[in-house]
Amino acid sequence: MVAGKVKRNELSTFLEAAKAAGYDVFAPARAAEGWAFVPYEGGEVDLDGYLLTTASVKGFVLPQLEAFLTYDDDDGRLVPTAESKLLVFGVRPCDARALALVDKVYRDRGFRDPQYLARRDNTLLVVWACDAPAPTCFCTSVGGGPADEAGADVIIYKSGDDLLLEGVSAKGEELLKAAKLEKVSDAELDEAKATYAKVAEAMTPLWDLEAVRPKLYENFDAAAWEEVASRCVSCGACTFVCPSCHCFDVVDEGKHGRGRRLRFWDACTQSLFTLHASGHNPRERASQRYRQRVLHKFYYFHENWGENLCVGCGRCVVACPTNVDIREAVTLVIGP
Amino acid sequence: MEQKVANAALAETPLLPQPATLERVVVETAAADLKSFYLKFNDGRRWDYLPGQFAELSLYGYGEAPIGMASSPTEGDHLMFTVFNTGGAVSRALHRLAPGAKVGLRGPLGNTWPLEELRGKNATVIGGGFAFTTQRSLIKYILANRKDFAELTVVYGARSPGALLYKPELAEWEKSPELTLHLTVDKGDETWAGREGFVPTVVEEEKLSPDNAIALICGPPIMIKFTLPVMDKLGWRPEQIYTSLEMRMKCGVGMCGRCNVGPKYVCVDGPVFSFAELSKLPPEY
Repeated sequence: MVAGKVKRNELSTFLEAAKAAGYDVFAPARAAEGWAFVPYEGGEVDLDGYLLTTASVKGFVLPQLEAFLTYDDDDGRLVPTAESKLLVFGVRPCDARALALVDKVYRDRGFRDPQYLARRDNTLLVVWACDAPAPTCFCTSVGGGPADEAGADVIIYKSGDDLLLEGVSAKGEELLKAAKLEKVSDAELDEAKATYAKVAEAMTPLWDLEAVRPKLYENFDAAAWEEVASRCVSCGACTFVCPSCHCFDVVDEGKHGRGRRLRFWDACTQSLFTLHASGHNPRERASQRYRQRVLHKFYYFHENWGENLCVGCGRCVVACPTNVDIREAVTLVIGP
Repeated sequence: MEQKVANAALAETPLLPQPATLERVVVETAAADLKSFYLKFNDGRRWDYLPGQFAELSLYGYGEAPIGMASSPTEGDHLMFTVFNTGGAVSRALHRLAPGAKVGLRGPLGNTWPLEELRGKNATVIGGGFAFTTQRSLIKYILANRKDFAELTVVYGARSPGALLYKPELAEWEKSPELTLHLTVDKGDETWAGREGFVPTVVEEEKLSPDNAIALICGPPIMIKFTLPVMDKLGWRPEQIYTSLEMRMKCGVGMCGRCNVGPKYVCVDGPVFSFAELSKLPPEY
């Protein structure tokens, strides 16, 4: 185990050490709308009131818009990814878990996405364990938790005036060694973790998904889907803020033999997503599309990879302009 | 969950098309809305592929489209795609190309017609309209490996004589002792001395037997809808009947997320499914 500690008001010692180790550091800061990861410019970071960034961490490894290929005289070349190392500080456990899930799609099926994987390899996630979850948080209902290590490189626990940092991946341990922080004892770390276990316990799961998951699929034709999606305006906001929604569209920009091939986030809740050239659309109704989103998160992905694709961050609940709530959707469809 | 990937380029750079050159264009239908494109890779590479698989055809500046391979690997080192001009960006641009044009290819993608299942059995191909393309690949493959399969029966229907694909080959196959071909058109014209009628009717009249047989059916939804009950009456079981699904696709490698039917992705788990498999999936295709 590699771990260390810093005073809460001396976090800059760690962040500066990360910069010295060659990382471009990003940390949460108040932005026009909520919080955002912004370049760390030095000094102490004020995380008072920080719960979750409005946009998830996924944009660092799966950019909202990416020119992944350029072509010239019909000769196509992949665009090399930047070689700079990124450290994102203050990532919540749900976001880190989401990236570990997206990895499966871009790496583990047998087809490896070189640009995604290069960015993933170059990105270090310093996860800030949660001691005060938001009312919209439900990570413990979907397999995660306020101190979940999935996808994390370093995890930070609060302990009085100290922050305890533990390396939970090879790259995280390496960074902590280089940072030469004050030592932390096993007992201190265990004590801090115990307080987070209590936070987890207080987050009573909304459902026993292992027990109710089959019902979601059995109730594929349930009227409840219409009910839960009756307000859905197919805007896609839920998918864009979601840290694990990984679907993309591809478009060419520039004709006459020269240009760029772009990919950008796409949304299964929008009707063009599945529209065939013939005009046929297998998911033409908003309720069919919302059902797809919920079943992908809670059933289809689980069938393929043994995990829920929802990490319980609650961003979709907050972002929806018509108050569609994925928690209510699951509850309603599984029925009493 | 890991898939078998056909080649290293596809495994490591799945979204990068491999450059190929258009060698020949054949106008297949009277309306010229279907053309066959014969392609060869610029660096001489060959794909290790089997009937039923597809590729993403890439035209820089227009985009990509998933198209089933109509050639058989037994035919040499060219690949052939028969493409309907849907009016979409890619198919319309493709239809304007002349030999010498550069085209990108990603693949081979997806699974194959059930060749292992078919070994030693009777193969019953039932096709309609322009869905016949990967069935042509299968027929060519069976004819080239004739001893591995028992009887080959083909029912192929189109709206009109002019809409039939691969007419020179159909003429050969009609005379060949290697297979039984039942051609039909919805409505004939002055050039047509053959059968008139819909595919389900032909299947019924010819009493296509399910004994030791696998059926490969592909065509417009209306044809499949009316053929399946006929086959059921003839004693075919859902696990003996395979079809190939079409879905909107972008990546072809299970990443972009749009071609799923329930937990199955048509690009990597399909496009070929048996009706026994489909009966367990939601009807979202």
